[in-house]
Amino acid sequence: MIQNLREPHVTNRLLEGRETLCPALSLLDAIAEDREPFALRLESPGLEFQALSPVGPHPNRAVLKIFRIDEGPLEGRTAVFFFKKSRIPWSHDRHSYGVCLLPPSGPTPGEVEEWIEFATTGFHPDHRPARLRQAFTFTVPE
Amino acid sequence: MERLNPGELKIALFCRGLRIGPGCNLEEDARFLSRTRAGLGSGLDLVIPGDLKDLWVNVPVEEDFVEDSPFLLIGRQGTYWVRDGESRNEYEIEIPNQPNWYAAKTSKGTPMYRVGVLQGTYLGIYVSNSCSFWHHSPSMGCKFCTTGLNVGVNEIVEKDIEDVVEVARAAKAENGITFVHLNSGFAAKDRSLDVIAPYVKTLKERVGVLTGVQVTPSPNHWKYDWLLDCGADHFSFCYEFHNPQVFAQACPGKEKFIGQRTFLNALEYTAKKMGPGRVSGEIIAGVEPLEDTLRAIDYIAGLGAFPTVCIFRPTLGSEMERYPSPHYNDMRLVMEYMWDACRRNGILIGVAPNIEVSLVVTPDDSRYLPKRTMAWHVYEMKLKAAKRLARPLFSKELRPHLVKGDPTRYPAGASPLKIAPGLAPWPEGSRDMSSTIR
Repeated sequence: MIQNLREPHVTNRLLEGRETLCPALSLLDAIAEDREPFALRLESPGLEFQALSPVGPHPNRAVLKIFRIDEGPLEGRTAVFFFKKSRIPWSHDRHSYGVCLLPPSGPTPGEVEEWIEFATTGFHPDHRPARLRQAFTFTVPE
Repeated sequence: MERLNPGELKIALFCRGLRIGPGCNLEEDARFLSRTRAGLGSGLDLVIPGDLKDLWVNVPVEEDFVEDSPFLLIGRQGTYWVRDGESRNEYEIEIPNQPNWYAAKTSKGTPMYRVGVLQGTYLGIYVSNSCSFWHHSPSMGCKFCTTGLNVGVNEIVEKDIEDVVEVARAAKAENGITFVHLNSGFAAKDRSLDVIAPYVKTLKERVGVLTGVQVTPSPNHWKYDWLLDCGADHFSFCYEFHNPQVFAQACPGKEKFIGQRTFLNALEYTAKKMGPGRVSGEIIAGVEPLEDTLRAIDYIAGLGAFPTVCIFRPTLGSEMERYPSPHYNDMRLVMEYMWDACRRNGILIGVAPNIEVSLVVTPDDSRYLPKRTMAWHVYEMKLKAAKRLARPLFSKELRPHLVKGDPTRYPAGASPLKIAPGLAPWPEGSRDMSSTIR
């Protein structure tokens, strides 16, 4: 579920995302329908979902960012970037856990489930997605 | 409880991390955090004042173990203090300002902080496009490292040589840097030094700085002579672990494609060629058995190289993220041993001007750890004399000047490139992800 779905800015951002990031439609639907809570982060442009289910005694720091690659040989492809935001408010750092590319026809239900589970477990190494690419030759937009 | 001296506090902060407490206005006062290179620089740079020298430390603040740290950073009327919740001691520290050039762009429009960052008082630049170990499936990256995860996320993918010159000039003008550390991951076909050579020459000729090179080792030792001709002042070899089993487990790419022996061969060759104190062997303490770390220190110092000992940090996103941070007492013992090994082998530490390293405890930092006996004082006197004698030499090196090496071609008479046995073939079952795009 998307906990802040009712906020007007969130709805508008999601509608925009559905138009521009078509291969991610099934992922967006799955996040909205999942039992585990997420929030759309309005502080950053594009679609960034903060996982909200706690990890043990600590808050979950996992974020899923859905974006379009705009450089290099993969230009135009849609991808999901897994990262943790720095715990220091002014830091620019994003602690990357990797990227999965979305096929133009959209990911399989199994892939979507895997990605959501990876986030809800706080990126536990045992739940790494099978197609996670830890190195990539494009810049993930901020 | 007894107060820690600056060297001890640096070690304790590496091992336990620091929580950010009340009264801190770090957004205004501090350098922003930037996780570049192997991820070690993910912490907060601060300076611990001391009678021998001020110590720079990049304190872990992001990792999960930090939540349990007794150390709390407190801001009080424009000053900063580290409060130790266990001993109740407080230590006044300084927070270095963010350089103005961090907010500037190069003439090509690249934000300067994405080209290089200050790590202590030197400029660190990760020059090449990630590390090839990370482009394999399964990943061959070192398990403590996050290099492949940083490039393209927190850094730009390729470093333009003109951008590097502009950033180095800006850092020299504003911060008085004397040293640029050029680092790169594994490049197949023994190309690591080839990639670095043009940067070295350009920095010497157009900026005037000391240059350090840290790449995977080459079995073609003539390439080190070539790099020296291009202006390299220092080589460091990250062989990480002395224990061959730990090396193999934690560094699968280095084990499969290079081999620990290739690191040691290159270290031995350059240490002999360049003389005492100009080469370093880098290892990580806190993962392999302590005796192995001490053995590594003896081996490195015995060659006349200086040991650079990183305290293991379980950085976010690395395979070893959930591995515990090392114990303070163990790390104190290691660092004092390192100082003593340098003293016994007559290695001149801390001689180059204005090179303070925040990511590791250097032998020079570890001067705080031993008892100040006669041996300590004699070594201190030697170091002071060496520093004075070396001053004119460094002053010359810090002016832009021509170097004879040509980075675009191998020197005449170079032996044919040796790829095996140092560089093993790709292991069965792996594939090169950089050329196979789904």
